[in-house]
Order: sequence, then structure tokens, then C-alpha cells
Amino acid sequence: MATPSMVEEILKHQHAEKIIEELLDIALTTLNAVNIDPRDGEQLADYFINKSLNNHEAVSLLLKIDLAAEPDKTRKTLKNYGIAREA
Amino acid sequence: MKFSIELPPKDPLWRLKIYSSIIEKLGFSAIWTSEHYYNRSSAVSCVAIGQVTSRIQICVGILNPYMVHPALIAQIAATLSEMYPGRISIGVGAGDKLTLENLGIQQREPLKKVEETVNILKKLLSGKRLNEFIRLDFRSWGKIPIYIAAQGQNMLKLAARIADGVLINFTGLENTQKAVATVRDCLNASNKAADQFSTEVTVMVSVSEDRSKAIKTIMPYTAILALGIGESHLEQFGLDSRRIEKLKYFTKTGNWQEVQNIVPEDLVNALSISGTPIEVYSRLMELLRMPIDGVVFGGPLGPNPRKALAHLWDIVSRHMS
Repeated sequence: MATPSMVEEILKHQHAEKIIEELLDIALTTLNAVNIDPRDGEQLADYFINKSLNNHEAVSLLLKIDLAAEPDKTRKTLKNYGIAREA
Repeated sequence: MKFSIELPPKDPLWRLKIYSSIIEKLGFSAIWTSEHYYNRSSAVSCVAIGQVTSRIQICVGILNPYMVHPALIAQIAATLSEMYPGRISIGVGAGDKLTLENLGIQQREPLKKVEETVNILKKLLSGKRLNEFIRLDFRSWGKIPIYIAAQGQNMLKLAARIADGVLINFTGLENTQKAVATVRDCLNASNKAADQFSTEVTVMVSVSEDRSKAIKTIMPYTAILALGIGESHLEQFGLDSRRIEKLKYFTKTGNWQEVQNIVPEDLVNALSISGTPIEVYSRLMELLRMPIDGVVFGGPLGPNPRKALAHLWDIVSRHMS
């Protein structure tokens, strides 16, 4: 589960933009889209279109979506940036 | 030259919205949807696309009169034009024979049926009555170009004669050249002005910096297209009847891992434009030597469609500059 501190860690990370991009790609390419609540997907699309993926709520949503669809891949991605402890 | 993207609504609509927003921002001309009963509705997808874009042409494709009555196709196009005036195009075709058969529908007289459909669309979308009873009780907004998806010689000729454009499926350079020539000859014979008709080629693409990933990603799409064209086409690529049967089975059951083991790379190269950005660029240049008005990039686009769209736009920009 995504925690507020994990979201903070991502946002403060020197590669925050890259991490968010990789998390977005997990949401866009997963074959387990059936596990993603369409309401969350719609919200994510709104954040993307309004260029506001780099705020607390958006990253929290992105983690929720990714962990529901690709828990291992998400943890691995975070681990690559040293953020995997709580996921 | 128009460069467009086909977004088959196999993905959830929120993904379609994200991709549509990227496609418009990059500068592509149009987004085509596709209609398969097992995917999301193309017409509803067009509404979603319109919600997040403001300029790009939204093309409802490809509806066939065996599944949807032409009056309803007109209704869909006119309704969408009310939401997005001047931005709607509609594509019609004879449908996929196998899919229709699976649904218990016989594809009788496809040529006649498509001709009838285009004539009905033209009448209803221009506010005319079809007969005493059939009309739309509301108007359409802006010109709604009607495209025919065509493969065979007669359908290509029909498109050149009665439609505003044709969508030719890329099935190899030579086949596509022949199809384009047929359309050209027919247009010349009917004295149709070049700006009255758009000849566009739909080509499956898969682009990635990682060549093997690009090829692997497009293999299932290639198998589906190849099986649709016919077995003789597959035999040309060294697939014997036993392997063709296997391919049919694995494609039908969606076992893509096995499909990837069977499909030869030659077939992928013949039916698609796939590989690294440099390879895709040089293959696309071969296609652009033909007298066409546009290219619609379809298929998976790449292992990562978001990155693939950026690659495609780079390729297109290189061509335009």
C-alpha cells in the first residue's frame, strides 16, 4: 500500500520526474488493467491532461493504480530508486 | 500529407484519453477508432476522445452495415458532429467475414451493401429523406467525410467512385502499390479532383529502440491480419498447413506466446512497419513514395505506446522537414 511518506519520498527525489514517468508507463502498459478501477483511471487521465501528475494526490493515485495492477513491477521500480521499503 | 493514429478501443477509455491528448499535442491530423464487438464501442470512444482534444479530426471506424444499420451509422455520425462540429469523419466497410460468421451473420453482396450504405449516409447526413419514412430528425454539423475501408479491386473502385476517401490496409509494399494505382486510375477516369478525395494507407507499426521487443509486440497483430488475408499468403512465408492450423488455434485462443514462436519475421516485415526508429523511418519513406494523401499508423504502435507515439512523431517530423 502507498503511504504518504512514500509519496513524499518520490516527490522529493532528485529523479522525481523520471519515477513518475515510469509509474505512468506501468499504468499505461499493464495487461492487468481489469484490476484498475475506471474511476481511478479517469482521475489519472485528468491529472495527466492537466499536467498535474507531480502533486501529492496524483502520485498517491498512481501508486494505488500500479500496486493494484502490477505490485511486483511497481515495487521493483521504486526499489531501483531506493523507495521500496514500505510498498 | 496527413499522418494519423488508429486507437483501437481495446484499452480502457481513460487510457484512450491519455493517448488522444498526447496525439493531439504532438500534431497528428486525426485519430481513427476501430469497431470490434469484443472491444469497447468505437462511437462512445469518439466521445471520450473529443472530451480531451480540441482540434484533431475524430474518425469513427470502421462500421459495417451487417452489424449496424446505415441509418444508425448516420445517426452516430450526426450525433457526434453535434458535439464536435467539423471534426467527425466516418469509415464504413464490409466487415470481417470470419467475425460476422461467428455472430451468425452472412456477409452477402458486400459491394452492393457498402454502396447502399454510403448512399444512405450521404442522403441522411445532408438532411434529405431516404424515403417517405426514413430521415434524421436533427441535422449534422460540418462536413462529415465518408471513407470506405477497401482491399479488393472492386471495393477500391467503388471507394474512388462514391466516397470522400479510402482506407487501404497495408498488406505489403507491392499489394499496396497496386491498390493505390487502382484508386488513382479510377479517380482519373471519373475526373474527380485531387482535393475531393483522400487516399490513405493504414499500416500496422511497432517502434522501439529495442528492436526485438518491437517485433515481438507486433507478432500477434501480424498473425490476425495474415489469417484474415488468407492461408495462401502464409504459405508464401514458409508456413506449412500444420503450422498454419497451430497458428489459427493459438490466435483464436489468444495464446500469444505460442503465436510469437510461429510467426516468421519475414511476415512481420511484409505486413507491418516495425523495428527501431531508423528502420521504421526508412520503411515509411518507401510507402511515402506512393501517390497517397495520408498514413494511418495502427496496430500496437510499440511495446510502450506512449514512447512509440513520440518516436512516430519524430519520424514524421523528419520527413516533413
